[in-house]
Amino acid sequence: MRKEIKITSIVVLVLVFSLLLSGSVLAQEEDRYGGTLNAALQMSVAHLDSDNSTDSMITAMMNHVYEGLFEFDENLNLVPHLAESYQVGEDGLVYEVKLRENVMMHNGQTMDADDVVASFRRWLELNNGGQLVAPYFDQVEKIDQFNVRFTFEEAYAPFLNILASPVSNQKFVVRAEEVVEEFGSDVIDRHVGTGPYKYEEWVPDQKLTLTRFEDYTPSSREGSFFAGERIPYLDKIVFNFIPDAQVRVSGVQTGQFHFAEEVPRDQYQIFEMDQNIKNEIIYPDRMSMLIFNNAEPPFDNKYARRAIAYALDFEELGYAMIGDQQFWRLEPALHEDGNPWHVPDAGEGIYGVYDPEKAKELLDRAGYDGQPLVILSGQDNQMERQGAIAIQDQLEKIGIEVELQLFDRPTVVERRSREEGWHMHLSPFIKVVPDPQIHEGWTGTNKWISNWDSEDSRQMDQIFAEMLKEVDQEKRYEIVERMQAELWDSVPYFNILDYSRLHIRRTELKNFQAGWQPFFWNTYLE
Amino acid sequence: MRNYIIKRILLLIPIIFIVAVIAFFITNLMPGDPVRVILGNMATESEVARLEQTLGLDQPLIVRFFRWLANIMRGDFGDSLYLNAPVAEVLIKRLRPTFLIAILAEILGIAGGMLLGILAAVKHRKFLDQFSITLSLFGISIPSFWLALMLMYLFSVRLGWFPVSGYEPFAEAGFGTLRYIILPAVTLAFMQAGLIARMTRSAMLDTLKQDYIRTAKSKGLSTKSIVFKHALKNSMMPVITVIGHNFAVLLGGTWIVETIFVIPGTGFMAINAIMRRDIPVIQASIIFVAVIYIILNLFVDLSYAFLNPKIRYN
Repeated sequence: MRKEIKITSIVVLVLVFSLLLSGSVLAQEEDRYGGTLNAALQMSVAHLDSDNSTDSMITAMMNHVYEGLFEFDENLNLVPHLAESYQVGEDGLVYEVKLRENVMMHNGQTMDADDVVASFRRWLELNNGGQLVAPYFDQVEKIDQFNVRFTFEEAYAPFLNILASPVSNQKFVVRAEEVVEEFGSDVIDRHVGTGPYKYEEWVPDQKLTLTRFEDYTPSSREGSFFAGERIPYLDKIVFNFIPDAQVRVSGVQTGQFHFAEEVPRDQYQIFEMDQNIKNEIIYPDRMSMLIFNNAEPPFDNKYARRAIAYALDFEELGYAMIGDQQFWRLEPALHEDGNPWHVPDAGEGIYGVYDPEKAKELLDRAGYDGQPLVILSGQDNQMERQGAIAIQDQLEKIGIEVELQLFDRPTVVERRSREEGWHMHLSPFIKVVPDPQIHEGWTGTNKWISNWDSEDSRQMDQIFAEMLKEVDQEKRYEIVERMQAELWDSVPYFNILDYSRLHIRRTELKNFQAGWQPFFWNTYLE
Repeated sequence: MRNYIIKRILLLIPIIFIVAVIAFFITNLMPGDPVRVILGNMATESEVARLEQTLGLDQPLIVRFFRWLANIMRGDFGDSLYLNAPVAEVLIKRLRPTFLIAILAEILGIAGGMLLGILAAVKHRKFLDQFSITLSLFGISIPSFWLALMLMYLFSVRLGWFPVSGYEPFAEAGFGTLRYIILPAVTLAFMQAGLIARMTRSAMLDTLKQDYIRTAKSKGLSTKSIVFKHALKNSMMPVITVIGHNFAVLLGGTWIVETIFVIPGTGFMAINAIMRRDIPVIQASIIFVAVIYIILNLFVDLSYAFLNPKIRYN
């Protein structure tokens, strides 16, 4: 009897303790809700319609309003998000996607196959990512209310990765069918998605305000970066557009902003000493890419392009263009270490091998006549400006005459699109490229601004054509290795180094994850 | 007088026409492609061509010029390439914060500048004179972007009195709007006060040497009465000229302070338009500043007649 009482007492105690604990956890969870988060972003955007622009800032903000069928997690694994599951046909031509049921949209209706089909057709027609897919695509059809079939004319291996791609705004997001029908190909300014936050107000050049979507239906998968469960703790998120870096900093120092994007790296130590501020170094973030004008002598010859790689001391460039070493690292591969497509031995024997004598030898072999080489670069961005000056300095040390042309962005964008008038151009590239096929957009015969048209470029086209069709992951990786090897042999452009921007946040902003695009679901204000 | 005003207003037409022609060709000949800026880094040539066609930028320059001229005569400045809205509508929306800042800066500048100028003239070659001259020299010399950041650091970061950036319209925030515009206005007022102080001082010194001032003194009038009743009014002509001309300069100054404090006025709009090569907005901004400048000049000229009855416009 006494034993029974003892056991009962223990059970009661455990129950009471558990109840108290769960009550306190619930209370803690409740406490997280509320507040308005003010984020200071550097650049405004023209509009908020991601299909009608290549500006990735649109996706970064509207990720809170719209969601994809698939999203990437922290390790760049593709995770079904609005999709419940999917099947790929054996020949790689048919993708059948089962949608999550009962997902509420901001117009009070549930998302279904009609919304997905309408949004996909628009994406295919207008979006930069859709246009990559379109030549190989056959049709999208509704199987039933929650099942959609995508059929290709030819196998297209990177399809799912491109659907979730954060690069240059390629991501496919699901919009309400009624909105797609209302706007067609015009810029959408009424936003109805499935995301944890609803569009409230857009004041051009000033701010975007989002409010919590009370009927949000989160994914049941564990939250990790863009994939899985998203909890909208904050009542409102306001993205403020503040062009001046020092004003963004001051805003965080005073508490007016809880987060500031891209602040001066040289103030890192000041922020370290401030108890209210936390530094956030983003990696992977950016690559500093040196692009050759492959149509203009001497760089119409690959030996001249290789010569420049040998002529530059990358480490010295790192200090000159970025500064503190915690913000940059030498990385010859297009995909960072940890990315499934990372090629560890990329650029072996050429990347980071500082050999001015070999550079001169290669320039002679390329028939370089000593003409001044024009470096075209932007003057507003520290990496571009400092990098171009440092490259000029290093090349002049080995007797190459260099003319530096630093302009504001619109002028640079116009000049580099010409076939003549420049030899080298320094440009920041987004490092997070979830599928190697995306590099095809700027790598190959006459792609982007490279003016690369030779036997080598056609060989590269062939490599990408193979990559496109190969659905087997291992075989596809081997093709990526060949692509990297060809890239370092022909050198139409190369990555000097990977570098990171510095973001700062207030310490009262909790649970923040430093993703490659800032996001604020799952974060809360203490 | 009426004929003079009508003549001056009619003269506005050829002047604005010349400004418009210059604005059109300068903006279209400046380097930088708006289409590529709008489409972003990775735009393809076909996308560029498609947008050029949509925006009418594929037409020859001369065709675009006459089309544009015909439109602005009807008050249609075209659509902003970036904001997807009529330029006139965008401009009107942005006028209020700019004028609020400029008027507040002008009031602060006139009050501060005239006070310093009068003090300097009355206390000629004394400490207050030297102090006023030095202070006004600072006002003129300090770059407004630096001063703006320093004021922000002191009053927003250290003291927390004002927000570092942003703007709430009067309709929503009432007098709370002042919190957002005081620092930008004080930044601009510094330069304005410097110029007005120097001009007031020198005009007052000239006036104080006049015979009628000596007569007033010998009659036993108080210094206060001499300075404010007799000397000040007669010294106002050059000061008014400076104030009038500099109001337009002040509007130019708002381009910098609005950008730093992120005030959505015409200056912030114009700077953004230049960065993005939003040509219709740049053109409208140039014409807007020119019109303001011309109108202010007209007011300055007319105020001469008010201040000095000897002046007749016939």
